[in-house]
Amino acid sequence: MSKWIIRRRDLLRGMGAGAALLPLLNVRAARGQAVPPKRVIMCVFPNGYPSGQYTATGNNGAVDLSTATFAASLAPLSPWKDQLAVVAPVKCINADDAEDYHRAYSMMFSGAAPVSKPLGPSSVWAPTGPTIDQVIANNIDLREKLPRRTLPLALPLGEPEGVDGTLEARRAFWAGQGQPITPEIDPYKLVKDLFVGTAMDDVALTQARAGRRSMLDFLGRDLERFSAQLGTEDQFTVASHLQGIRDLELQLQQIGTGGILGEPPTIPTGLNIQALNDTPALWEAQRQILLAAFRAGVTRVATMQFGPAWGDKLNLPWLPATGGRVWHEIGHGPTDNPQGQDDHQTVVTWYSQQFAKLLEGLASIPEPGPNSVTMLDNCVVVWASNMLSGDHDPSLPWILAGKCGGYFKTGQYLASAANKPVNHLFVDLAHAMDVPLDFLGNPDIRGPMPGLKA
Amino acid sequence: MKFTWFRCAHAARFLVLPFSLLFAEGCTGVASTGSARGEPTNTDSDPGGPQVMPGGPQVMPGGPQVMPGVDPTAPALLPGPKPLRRLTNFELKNTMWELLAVDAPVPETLPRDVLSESGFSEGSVISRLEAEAIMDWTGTLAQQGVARIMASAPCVTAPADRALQDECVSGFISNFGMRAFRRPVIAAESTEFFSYYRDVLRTQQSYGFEQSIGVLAHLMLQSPRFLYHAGSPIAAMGPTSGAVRLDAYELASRMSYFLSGSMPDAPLFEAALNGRLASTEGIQQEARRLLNDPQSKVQIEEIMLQWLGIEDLRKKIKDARYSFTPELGQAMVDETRRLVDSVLDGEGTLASLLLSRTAYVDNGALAALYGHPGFTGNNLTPLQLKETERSGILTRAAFLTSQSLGSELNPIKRGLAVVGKFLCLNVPQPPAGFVPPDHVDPGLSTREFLKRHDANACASACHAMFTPAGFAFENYDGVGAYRTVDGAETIDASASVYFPDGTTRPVVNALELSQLLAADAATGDCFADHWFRRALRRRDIPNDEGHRQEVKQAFRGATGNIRELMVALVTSTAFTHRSLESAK
Repeated sequence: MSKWIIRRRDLLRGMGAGAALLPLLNVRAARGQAVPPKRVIMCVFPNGYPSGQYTATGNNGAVDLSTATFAASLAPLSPWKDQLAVVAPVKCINADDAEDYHRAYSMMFSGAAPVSKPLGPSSVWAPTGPTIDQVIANNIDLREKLPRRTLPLALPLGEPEGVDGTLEARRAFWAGQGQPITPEIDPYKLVKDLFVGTAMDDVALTQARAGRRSMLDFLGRDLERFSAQLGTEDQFTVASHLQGIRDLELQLQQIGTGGILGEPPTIPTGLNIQALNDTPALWEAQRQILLAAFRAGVTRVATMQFGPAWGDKLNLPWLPATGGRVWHEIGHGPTDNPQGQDDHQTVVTWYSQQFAKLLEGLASIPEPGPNSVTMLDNCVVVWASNMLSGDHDPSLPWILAGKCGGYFKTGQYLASAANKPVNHLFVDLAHAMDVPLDFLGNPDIRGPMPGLKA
Repeated sequence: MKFTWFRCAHAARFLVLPFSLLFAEGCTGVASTGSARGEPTNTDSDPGGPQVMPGGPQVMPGGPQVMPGVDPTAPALLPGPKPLRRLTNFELKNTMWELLAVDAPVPETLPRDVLSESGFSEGSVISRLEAEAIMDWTGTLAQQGVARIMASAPCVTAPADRALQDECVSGFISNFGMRAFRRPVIAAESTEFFSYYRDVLRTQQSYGFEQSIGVLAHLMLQSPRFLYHAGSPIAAMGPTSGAVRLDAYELASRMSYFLSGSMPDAPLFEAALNGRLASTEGIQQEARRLLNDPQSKVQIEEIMLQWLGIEDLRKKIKDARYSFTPELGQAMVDETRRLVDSVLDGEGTLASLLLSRTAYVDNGALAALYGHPGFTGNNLTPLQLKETERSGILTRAAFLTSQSLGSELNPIKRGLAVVGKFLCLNVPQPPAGFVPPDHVDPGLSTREFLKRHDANACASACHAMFTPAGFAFENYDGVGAYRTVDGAETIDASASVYFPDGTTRPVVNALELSQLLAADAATGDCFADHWFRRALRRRDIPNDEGHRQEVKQAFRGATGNIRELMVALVTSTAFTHRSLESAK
């Protein structure tokens, strides 16, 4: 039998030598849009900040960051103060009665009630509604079809065991109840998927793509029929599957209409996605991919998970100062580990450095507009953790970076946000991205966070 | 050594809340028979579509089958729901082997199974990434397994006549679908798949007959009917409240995946077809047959590893002083699997799992760890471990290594494992506002440190239930090597174990603890509770209690025979029926 099954990626890549990659091209700019698109990146890391280090001095209300001094863990962000809005710790009210705040990991971007509140085995909570990245992405999808609704990324960090082995501890972003978004971790696969050449004159390839489209179309309809026979809870499971099929269709459709054009980043060979020691290099590869994908107009929404909710069986060998100690116990700080505060500071300082690198990358990409506008000016990057300090402090530190086309008032520490529901921040993110939204997750909590908008 | 209150919080995550405590008032559920009554359904979608041709499985969809509907002997207690689960990666691999005779590991692009609310693994929810991985993987398998796929077509070569060709394709859909979906394909489905085939022929002119069938098989392997443990499409048209008995094929599939980790084999399909699964005796007979198949041993190993919380020890993080390697970790897990096998080959009881001293060790480092340096055995040569040092599973390296932290206190985790996995005790939460103690001098022995910590009344209340049991393991270090001193102190492995009946019983060490657990009915009851959740692949609900008592009774009656527990589980009404409460 001849090779009649064509791997999906072959379809994307094109076949034969004619599939050369096209030179760098900002698709959207090329399409004649004068206003650069807005973009959002949502990042989460677990276990919070060392006790007392998430601060900027000041009274109630906004504090000017330019006169504030960051503690050691935030010091890498000092050069970016004018681009930051540091939000005083907010609350994820639906996780407030959780026995510990690791559970906020799966809950903190939706503001929705949990499906249930078990405290027994494998008892991480799951939200009953979508996370804000999905809401924004779906709204953008109504207006313009991009190859990817979102680009969900994560550090691999091995295969989590123990409580981090549960789905909820590894999924911060959800399309809806029972629909966790599985992040992509393999940079080689991402490059192959996202940056493709064209071979539109290849008849066989065009035909194969048509075949694949037809298969995806059938599977989508088949899932709908299948779902119609199910109870409500089970329908959520199938909805996730259906969305997955629709996303694959969407990407193939884009290929068919001209391809995803862009310059792929150069990824060093030999990275092992199972090797904890490769973590910095893997993140660097993902950072490059993310920037290139934004540049090429692949998507306008990206998410990044810097670790699972507990980190209870992971250590951080690329940070030798932590001495192989387990991440979770590091997070608990001195209550669990005599040098906990130092270890935790080492880890979070590394995180903050990565945040700074991401901002650096965004700021290095010029965009059309007056006054040397960069991609960072048209972006908002959320930098959040599932607890304020690693000792289960039940509030959420959120830093926003970038003005997102002038929406955000940066350079401030927003002290007045303290203990307000995180749900207000979702509204700000939506409005910054030109998505109409009055509330998310809880109809009793409406409107943006006062003081955040410029 | 150090300790803080948050471990109480950890405790809760590892423990199983005893059903009786949680749902004491919920156990008097009354069957709502009124709303459950519905007319037996017989619609246009009844099997009756394409006829099954010779060469396929020896089952005819038109034959007699147990139709779903309200069971006339409806149980006094309604069974619980049967939530939709996708096949785990383990099940997918096994099923592909059974279906296509292709031995193909699940690709790394498909995320690993996750820990579910039952306490056991389930496949991750399918989103974009999984859908893509499955599409690529099944495409490759459809090519590799083409011989098996074509064997499901009733014609060997493409008939020249178009009508005969169509008939052959219809036959293929019925035959292949019967096995892939683990039930007869209904007419509406057959029509859909056939129209897809016509579409392929029309749009892919370069494809021949065989290629078109291959593409059809690729499609069917991505169907939710293949990927999920789904209910009968006919049952979906029946009543919407109350409870139903699973139809024979759904029951066969549920049995097979629980007992063997794979799709039904030909005799089980036949039993479903011939109505033999309608009786308890028929189910028992088929269950015992499956449990005697070697495939079943692998499945039982898998369940055991998950129950015991034994991890992939190749990735375990241990302090450098232990010289722990991925190879040693793997050898530990392998040794546990062989222990389970040898128990099943012998008495087959939970007690023998707790007491066996027979080990199969093919790794020098592990043999040395067990105090037999120089032993050059293999999987065929049994090694009798030292009577004074080892007993069954609780004293084996894999359990001891999994149930310990990288560098810290072992008694807490090990104690939690004993009370959670063997005694199903509930451990209360730490009180709100509890202030954790400061770090204590690391020069103290484990026992001395915990003694001081437990002087705190609050901590004591939390730990009294599980830490004492953990002291019984003090003779084993973080990787399970036997030791007689800890720091400067001679090991004292005496412990007291709190039992669900409220008694506290002293033991001198883990060997005696194993004896105690092996002899006490509470252990078997707890084991049955865990396996009940595994069989039903969900958390507990109040109505389960009556069914669980029956299963426990049967397990006791069978003197703790593990296979007989599994037989009792698959004959339980909780397993053979499902509620329709969650139906649309």
